[in-house]
Amino acid sequence: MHQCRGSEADIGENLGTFSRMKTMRIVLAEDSALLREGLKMVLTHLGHEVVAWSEDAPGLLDACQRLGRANIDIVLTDVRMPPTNTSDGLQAALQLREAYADLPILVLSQYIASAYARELFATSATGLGYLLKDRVGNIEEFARALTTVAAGGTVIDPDVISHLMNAPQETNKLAALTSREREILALMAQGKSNADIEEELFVSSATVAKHIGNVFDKLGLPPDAGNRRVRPVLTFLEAS
Amino acid sequence: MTSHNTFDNEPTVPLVVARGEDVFSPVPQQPEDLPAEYETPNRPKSLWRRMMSPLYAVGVGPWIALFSLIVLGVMSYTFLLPALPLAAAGAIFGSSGALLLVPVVMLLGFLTLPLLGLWFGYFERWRIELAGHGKIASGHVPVPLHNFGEWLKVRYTEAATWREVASLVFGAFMASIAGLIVLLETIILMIAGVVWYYLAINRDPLNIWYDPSSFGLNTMFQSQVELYRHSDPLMFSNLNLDHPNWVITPDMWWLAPLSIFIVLFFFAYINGLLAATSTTLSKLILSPRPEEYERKVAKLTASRTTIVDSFESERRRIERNLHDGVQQELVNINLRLGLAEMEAKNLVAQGLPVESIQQQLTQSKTELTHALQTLRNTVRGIYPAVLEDHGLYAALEELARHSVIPTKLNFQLRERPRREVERVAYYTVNEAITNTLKHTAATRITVNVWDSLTHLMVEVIDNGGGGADPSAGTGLAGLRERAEALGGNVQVTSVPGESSTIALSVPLHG
Repeated sequence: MHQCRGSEADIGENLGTFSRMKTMRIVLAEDSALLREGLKMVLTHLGHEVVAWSEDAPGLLDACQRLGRANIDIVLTDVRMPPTNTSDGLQAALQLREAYADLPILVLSQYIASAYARELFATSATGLGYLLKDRVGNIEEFARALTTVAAGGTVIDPDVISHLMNAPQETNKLAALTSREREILALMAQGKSNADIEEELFVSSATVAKHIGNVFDKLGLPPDAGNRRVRPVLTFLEAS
Repeated sequence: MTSHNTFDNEPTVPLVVARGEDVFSPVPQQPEDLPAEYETPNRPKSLWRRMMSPLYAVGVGPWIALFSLIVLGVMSYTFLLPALPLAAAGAIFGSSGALLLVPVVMLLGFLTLPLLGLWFGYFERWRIELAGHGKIASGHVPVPLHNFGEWLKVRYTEAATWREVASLVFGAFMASIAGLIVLLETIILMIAGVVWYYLAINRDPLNIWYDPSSFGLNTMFQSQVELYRHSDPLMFSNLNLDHPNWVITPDMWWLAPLSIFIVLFFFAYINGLLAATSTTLSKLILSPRPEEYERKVAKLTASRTTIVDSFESERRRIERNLHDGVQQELVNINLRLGLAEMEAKNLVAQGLPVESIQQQLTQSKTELTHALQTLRNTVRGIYPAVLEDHGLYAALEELARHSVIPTKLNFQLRERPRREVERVAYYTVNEAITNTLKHTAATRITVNVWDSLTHLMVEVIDNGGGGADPSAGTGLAGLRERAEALGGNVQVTSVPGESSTIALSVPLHG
């Protein structure tokens, strides 16, 4: 390296070292101009392209319609946006999923309440993510969440998950799980691969596989069901 | 459905809101309206009732009537007096040609009257109560006096004020009649006294002539007859001074006290009638009209609802400001710190000695994340967006999940209640959980939410050993206010050594 201070291009290049990812075409919806610019900057630095942005829910729908499914890799949207300043962004995301069932959407939220995540994942979980806004400060995690969701995976914010884990256990399907299995389930819900889990928990791949098998058993999921990694997450949300 | 045994004996209809009494007390039933068996010895008797009694004349009744009339006279004239100079001035200006000043003076009088009426009304209500005709509600809307402009505005426009003015004018009118009658009574009594004196002490016979040509009856003591006979015999030329039609001799002196007794008996009834009439009519004028009560109740309810609503919208505004402002800014700073951290990391990877910068950045980011979490919790406490977006169940679930004490939620609602009801239910549970955490050593909280046919019922039960004080806590008072504004109520019960329960019931439909 010939330069100490990296240019913007450098950062993108450097990022490649830990998040080998292709350039994604992103539609961004965020009503706070400040944060929108910040996100654009980060996304650009990550080597992605913000192909359209909007400051409200109707704008998001318009942009997606204009561009067409084929020209969008992932939609990144805020939950609370105009016009009603309630969960318009989330509603727009659900509408988009109705129109394009496989359009990856990552929802950025200020709310830890599980009701929002539950609403988002009510019908499907593939290529969907629910991330707290605090999380975007952790660029690595944010970048990984983007790629996971864009690749059809599911990401739920760790805080939302630990929040769910705190639920009273009496009526909880998860009560049957051991603490280790719950831990692994939580990591799976965050969109982590087996390899990530092995690394994080310092266990062997066989152990992880065994635990995941147990989770499936205890939650009553057939091992051959599609969306293997997603099913427990949905169960997890339903259970809570 | 879980058992809600603490509610088994409770009426599902909320208790009547009792706070209204502070503002205006309901007019007590008039004694006349009540069956005799309801009359208690302590209940004040009205003058009408007193007069029905055969012993009225010898009792305290006539004196009450007389006193009541005197008070009425003194008060009405005292309070009308300040208006008299104005009337006089008006008359003077009017007659002296300064016609322009007449409206000014009239306006002054017009503006003074309500203030005088207000004052008079205060005494008049006291007088009516004193006469045994029952309490009258003031009918005035309470307005703090320190906000004088507002006070004046309300007082001048209130029906109650103008009723008092009417009662002042009416009082002065009645007092004038009563004054003349009482004056006449006094003269009669004085004459009877004089007659008694002359007959009994001076042994002076009273001569009475019947003379249709002059006044009908002419009366003269014997001593007077002698006097006139010697001074001016022509004066009573039409009378034959020596031959009166009747002579009351000094031996018949007892006729004087007898007639005094007889007229006093009549006076007692005349005064009683006057006092009772003036009091009853005055009461009729002063009493707030039923529709006025209804209007006032409606107004009070509306104003309370407005207060609660403005409180609510204020909270929402604060929440929105925090969410749209500082929260987004902090997230953005977090984003930038994240970028800087990443850059520093890369520099470290390139072998540059910037580890300390990277550490500082990581540390800052951790602290900022913590700040964001705290802020998020605060914002949620101010106004729970999840309540608005996903309803009561989701919001209570969040509360239960966040609660430090294990909290079990039993939720059975057929449909989503209106927003105001949801909010008061949410804040009740929130307050109850907070109180339990603050004041007890409870290890378990149960939150039950269900709907009766008409009401949303919420109860929060803890096992913290009871001892909850229903009157303590401004938080609870605020909840009461909110619940009552919606027509509901909040009850705190406690089983010492076992549990405390905060129960809310709010009508589901406004």
